[in-house]
Amino acid sequence: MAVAERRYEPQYESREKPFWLRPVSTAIPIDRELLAFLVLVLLAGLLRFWDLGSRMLHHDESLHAVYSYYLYIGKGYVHDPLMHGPFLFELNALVYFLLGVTDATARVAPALFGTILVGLPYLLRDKLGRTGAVVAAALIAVSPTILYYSRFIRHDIYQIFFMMLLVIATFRYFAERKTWCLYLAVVATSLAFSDKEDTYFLMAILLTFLLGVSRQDVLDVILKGKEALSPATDLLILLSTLILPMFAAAPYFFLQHSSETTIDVVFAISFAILFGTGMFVGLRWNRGVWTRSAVVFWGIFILLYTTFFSNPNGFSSGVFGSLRYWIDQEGVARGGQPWFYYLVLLPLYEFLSVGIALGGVVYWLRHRSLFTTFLMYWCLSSVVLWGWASEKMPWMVIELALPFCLLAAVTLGKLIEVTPWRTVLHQGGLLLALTLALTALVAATLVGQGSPFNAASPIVAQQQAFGWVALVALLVGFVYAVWHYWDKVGGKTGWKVVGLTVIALFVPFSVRAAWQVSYYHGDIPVEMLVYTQTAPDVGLVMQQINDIAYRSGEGVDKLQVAYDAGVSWPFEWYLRDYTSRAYIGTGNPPPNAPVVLVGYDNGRADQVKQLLGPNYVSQRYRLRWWFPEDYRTLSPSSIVQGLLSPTNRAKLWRFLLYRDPPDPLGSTDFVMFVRRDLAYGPWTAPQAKATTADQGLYAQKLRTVAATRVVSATGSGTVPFAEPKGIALGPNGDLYVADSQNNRIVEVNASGQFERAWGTKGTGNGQFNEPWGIAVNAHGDVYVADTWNHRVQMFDASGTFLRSWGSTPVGQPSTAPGQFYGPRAITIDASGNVYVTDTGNKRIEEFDSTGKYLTSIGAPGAGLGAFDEPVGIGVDRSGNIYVADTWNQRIEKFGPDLKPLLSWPVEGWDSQSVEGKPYLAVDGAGNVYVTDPENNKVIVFNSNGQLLADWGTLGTDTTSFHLPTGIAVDATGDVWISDSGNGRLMQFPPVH
Amino acid sequence: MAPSKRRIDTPSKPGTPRRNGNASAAVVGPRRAQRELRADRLAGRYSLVQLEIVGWIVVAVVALGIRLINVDGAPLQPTESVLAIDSWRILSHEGIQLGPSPLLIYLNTLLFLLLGATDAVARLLPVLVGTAVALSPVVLRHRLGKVGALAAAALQATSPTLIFASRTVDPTILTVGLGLGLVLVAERYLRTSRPWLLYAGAVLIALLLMSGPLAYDLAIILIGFVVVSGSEGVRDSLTTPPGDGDPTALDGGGSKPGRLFGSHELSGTKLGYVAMAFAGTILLVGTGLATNLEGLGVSLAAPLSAWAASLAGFGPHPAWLFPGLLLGYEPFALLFGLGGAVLAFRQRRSFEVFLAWWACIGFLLLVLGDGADPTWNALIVVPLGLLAGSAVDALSAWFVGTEQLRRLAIFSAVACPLIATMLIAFGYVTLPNPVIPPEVALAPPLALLAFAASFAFGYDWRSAFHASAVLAAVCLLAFNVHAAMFLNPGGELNPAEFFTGSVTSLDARRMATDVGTIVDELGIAQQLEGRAVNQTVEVTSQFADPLAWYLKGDPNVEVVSQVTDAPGIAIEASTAKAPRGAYAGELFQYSDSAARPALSFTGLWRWWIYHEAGAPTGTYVKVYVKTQLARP
Repeated sequence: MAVAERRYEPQYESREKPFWLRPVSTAIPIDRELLAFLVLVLLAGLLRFWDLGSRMLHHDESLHAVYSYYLYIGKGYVHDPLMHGPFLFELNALVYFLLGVTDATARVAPALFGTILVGLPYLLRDKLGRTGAVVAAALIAVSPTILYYSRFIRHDIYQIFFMMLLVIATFRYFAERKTWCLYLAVVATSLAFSDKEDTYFLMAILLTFLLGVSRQDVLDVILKGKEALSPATDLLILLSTLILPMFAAAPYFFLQHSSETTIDVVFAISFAILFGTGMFVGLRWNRGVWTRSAVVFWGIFILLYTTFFSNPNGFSSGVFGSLRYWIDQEGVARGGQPWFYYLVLLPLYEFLSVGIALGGVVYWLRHRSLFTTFLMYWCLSSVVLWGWASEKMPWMVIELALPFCLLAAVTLGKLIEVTPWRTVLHQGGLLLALTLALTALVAATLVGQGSPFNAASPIVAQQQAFGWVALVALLVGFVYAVWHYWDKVGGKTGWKVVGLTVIALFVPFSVRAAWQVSYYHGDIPVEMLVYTQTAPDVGLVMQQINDIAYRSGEGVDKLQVAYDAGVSWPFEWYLRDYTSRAYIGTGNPPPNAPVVLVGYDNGRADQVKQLLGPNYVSQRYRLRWWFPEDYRTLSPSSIVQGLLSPTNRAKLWRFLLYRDPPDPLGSTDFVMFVRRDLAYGPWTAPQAKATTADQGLYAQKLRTVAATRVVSATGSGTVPFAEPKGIALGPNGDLYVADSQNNRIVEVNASGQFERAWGTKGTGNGQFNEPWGIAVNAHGDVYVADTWNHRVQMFDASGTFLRSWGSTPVGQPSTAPGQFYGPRAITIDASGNVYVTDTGNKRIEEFDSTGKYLTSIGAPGAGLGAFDEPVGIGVDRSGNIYVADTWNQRIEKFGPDLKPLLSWPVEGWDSQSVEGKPYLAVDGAGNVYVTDPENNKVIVFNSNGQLLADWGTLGTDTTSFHLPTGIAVDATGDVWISDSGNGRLMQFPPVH
Repeated sequence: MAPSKRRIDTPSKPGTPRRNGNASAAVVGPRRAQRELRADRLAGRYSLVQLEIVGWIVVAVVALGIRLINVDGAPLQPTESVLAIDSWRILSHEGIQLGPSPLLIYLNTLLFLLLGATDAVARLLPVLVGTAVALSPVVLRHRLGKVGALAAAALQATSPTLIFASRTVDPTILTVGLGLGLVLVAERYLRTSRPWLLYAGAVLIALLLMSGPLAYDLAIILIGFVVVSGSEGVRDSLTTPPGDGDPTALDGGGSKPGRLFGSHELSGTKLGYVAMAFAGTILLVGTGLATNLEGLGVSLAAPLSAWAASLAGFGPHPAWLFPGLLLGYEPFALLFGLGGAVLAFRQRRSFEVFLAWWACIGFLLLVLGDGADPTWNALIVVPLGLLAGSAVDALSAWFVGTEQLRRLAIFSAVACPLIATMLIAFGYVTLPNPVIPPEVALAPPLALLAFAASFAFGYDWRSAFHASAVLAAVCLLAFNVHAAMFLNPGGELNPAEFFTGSVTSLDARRMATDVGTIVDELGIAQQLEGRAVNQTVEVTSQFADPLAWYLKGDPNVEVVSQVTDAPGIAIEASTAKAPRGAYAGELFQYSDSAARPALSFTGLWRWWIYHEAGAPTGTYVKVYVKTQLARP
């Protein structure tokens, strides 16, 4: 009946009112003290959560954010000692699950722990004193370093949180000796080990202190099996026996050059010995508590390090790998900071806490208590241990800041409590404080003024002297007032008022420092705490990439962004939604990639620039930037010399007060390359166009050329031309015109007389929907690009329909081979093959003379061989093909084998309108004539792209055009232009 | 008035030092005594505050915050802009067109008048109504229990469906809110017989009928319940003299389950007032405070015709849509709502039985009708949420002693890691290239089942059941938050969500800004330099919503079926022909859509947990700007 005995039936009748229905005051005794804590926690929450995502993720943050993200999206997490323990990643994955994946949510967990940390002193108020506890909460809430790193995804905020829990558990156990305190300590220790290897230091501090307290007692327990007399002994034995196996990798100090097998064997033996020893001592101490604690400690550790059993190797990497890795890192000394690094950072940011704490040391050495002794020991040992460790980083300052905050709080709390406030309030104490403050202010102003007697001119000297005398007079007056009120309140109270006044004067500066570093300079390394921070430029670049994803029509899932090893962090995070992104390491970017990001250093950017060629525009940005670390070379003599120099003193003052760095900020940069067709446009950077063509040369080559013949209404039959587009010359010299808006083809003889016309609007055979392109083969067959029917129609010389191909059904664009999307122009080579610019599909298609599909070239893009709105096309006698690649603003030349040979820029073609479609023709000498419709010009190049001439302007006379579009060159070299807007054809002599 | 002795002599906690000077007011002087008295009064006031109240405050802050924060992050969807622009037109005297929700359109007109016509203001009314709906269980504490009411509020505050409905310019939440208000008024009237509740009910019915098509689904539910279970009560209430009946029939004590109507005096005078309240509301609201007399008929007809259209039979959405929505987004409400319904029938609790009726009939109507809009799912989520609260309340009654809490702690300590393992394992096996065999992923759920079974065997099945239920509640609440945040991301909506389909791109908003800037510049050129510029903006009709909303301040904007010759600016499909003349073109994304998840475990899991679906497909528009300004 054992089961039946264990069964529990709730007795509704006798049950008490649940706790949530009792008054809060019975569940939680709310009083002013607790209200103060609540307010401070709320304030801390506000400070920590406000605008959490505005700063770009730091390099380390991006690593943490990305690997948490991988865990969240189902890719798991494999513990890597490089990034410390797994706690951060698993917690962050949970936050992503709940709140989504953004920069802000990546920082939510640290902000939450940083907020709760502020409330923890409440649990230590019997040690800190009630006032001291509130002060501690306030100091932690606005501590510049703790605030900054509560808004930063690193492990350190969790470390100090767990240390705080350990301290609470320790001193609550000292006071109450209840088992829950031991379990709390065990949980905190296990979580701390699952967070970061600094836990070794934390444990060293706590356990050595406990050892000092328990002394003989611990030996009696271990050696003689006596019951522990001191609570410190309980904690010492429990924690040390549990964490003993965590030192299994310690022999690595001596095995760094041994084989992996040897190391593994030694580690295993070491682990077995240490675990066995710990268990033996622990069970001897208290079988039940130790067993339960071991289950909790190792349960948490195993769960987290194996990522909830999904990474079995995590256990060994956690127990052995972490310590081993950081033993190796001790030799690396990452950061390369001097030994006094924290001695610079601490007073720079935590001057309030450190100052009060140092004052407290003087007091507490005379009025010693266990708690304050521990705090002093914690402060001292933190400075020594973290200062000794070779890797020094600004985020570790918070490991030092916490004990200083607590020591400062207990000191200030005591000072507030022992101050006779009646005397202070009613017998001149406040006036003493005020006059002290004013005295300090005036004295500081006097010092800041410098000497009044070496001014540039007598008048200035006189003014300065008057000011100086006035200040001296004020100072004397205030000093007298201080003396007066000092006398009134008495020396003992006077000293307390002095202390409180000094602290009150520094509080605003401390708050200001916190505000500046966390918000105002959050990502600007004029602060030493802002360490190799990702520059805001990264955000700008991401905004541009997002724009390109929109503008190109690719979207984030299709836009290919290539990025190299130099920029992988933080771009691995910021490009996470770009599923087509390509990491290229140190290799070459893929051809035609829309966006390429490469590191700038070591000539990498120049190499890539050469490789990408002129089809890309580029811009250099800052990736990470940093504070000028001149302090690394400081020595006592240089400090003294520096302080003796007025210039240096001024620099120091400006840095302390305004964070003006003494030297320019350093940075490591990267370059963003954008394919020209994506960068250029009416809304994008003008720099994108800067290298397209030499505008000055165009001005030099500009000519005035008059037409020798103009064919207008008379040549078009009974109906005038309506926006004639493409034109072509037949073998008999007749001119064929795609009369686009009349939806017909017009044939004009060499003297400009109308011969015939055919076609109407429609989709049937011989009907058109805006014919644009036209070509005639050696037999006189006419090929027409029936543009908006998306097909090519073929007629004999008399205009009889022969066949058509392309759109099926007629009018429907298609990307299939042999199909079209708005074909604009046609040309025919010497062998009779037909080339059609399939403009909307951004390619050229080749057919035989009967319309049989042969091949196609080109793809969307700006690389050589790619197109963006190809229109005009021509072929020279050698079979080379020239294409007007309109929106890339260039002409591309292909060999007879359709391999791209070269391209050159065209100054013009800058409209994307439906009218601005340029055509080209090649004369017998290989010169290329192109029209520039919306600039009303014709431009002539030689076959290598050298500009020969350009002519034309807007108008209606024989030297002017309105939308010159189609172009053809006859056997004599005369140039025919369809002046589309003026509805006429114009004949010009050869222009070279 | 002297404070009570209890308040003054608040005993200090054992082991904590006494407050300075708390010993005696007489010894420390009158001013200090007064100060301490004030402090003790403060403490006394706080002693009245229960954790429950703190809980309600937290839920209220969360409910409002989650609905209000970044409410304009996503641009208006086409269906939203249609309603919003109707309000704008009324306000700017461009004619009155009342869509399916005249009430929403009129109220939004008022809000636009007060606060300006922006995306955030357009969504403000749903935000406020949605918050009220989430907090409505506060007046049902006597029925759902205090814990149950709080749980129901927490559920509704974080319900993905309700949050989505509350952040959308859509009448659904308004209708559901009014319907719920009507139910609450009826419930209170039956308990208290206060006449003002009758009048309030009449006003609510009138507003409900003008609020949107869903009102008629609610009407069917309410009338159906009365007909099916309350006809006897109705007859009694009309025939039984006052005092003979049971005025608290809903409390269930001795009454028939589901009996809604007790015996109340409904005199002719009262009925007259009720009719006047109803008719007056219709008149006032239907005519837009007498500004639109023609709107009276339309205000009643428009929602009705929209509802009739929604009943055209099986519509474009599959039959599994609404069950799928419940499973995919509202598993907490569904699971615990069903539990609450079972409890309601077992314990013969008439109000909860009514909620179960509401949920069932509402579900049937949505599944059987054309329904169409997934947001209508809110109709079912509200009663399910209240029922779920009732179930949670029953669950909480189990955990009164330390033994149950200890068992719960043990259960959670083992089950939570296993759930985490399960999530990770399922993540692994649903990757495109799974890193572990799919069978391995079965291990964590099997281990979880085995553990639950062994827990039941070791203790008892009730403990295992209750611990499992608590854990499920916590996990599903977390899931609620998860789904809600992904469905309402505060930026561009996710097209992979079933609630969204095609979503308006953030780029559309930027396009409108750019177009506005260009039009402004053209206007400046015209005014300052006297240039004859063409400022017309033509938008093809397929993109009119929401672009017309974003360009609403510009009188030159025209919605056209096809772009005419040479407008100043043309906005048309990216694949359409450009207008004639010299234009610069720029591509903008108009909307985004995504393929639905594959109906496989992998597809559904990755959609459910990671909100992944097929690759999104963008719809693009091209903006052609006539080159009129010579720019350096």
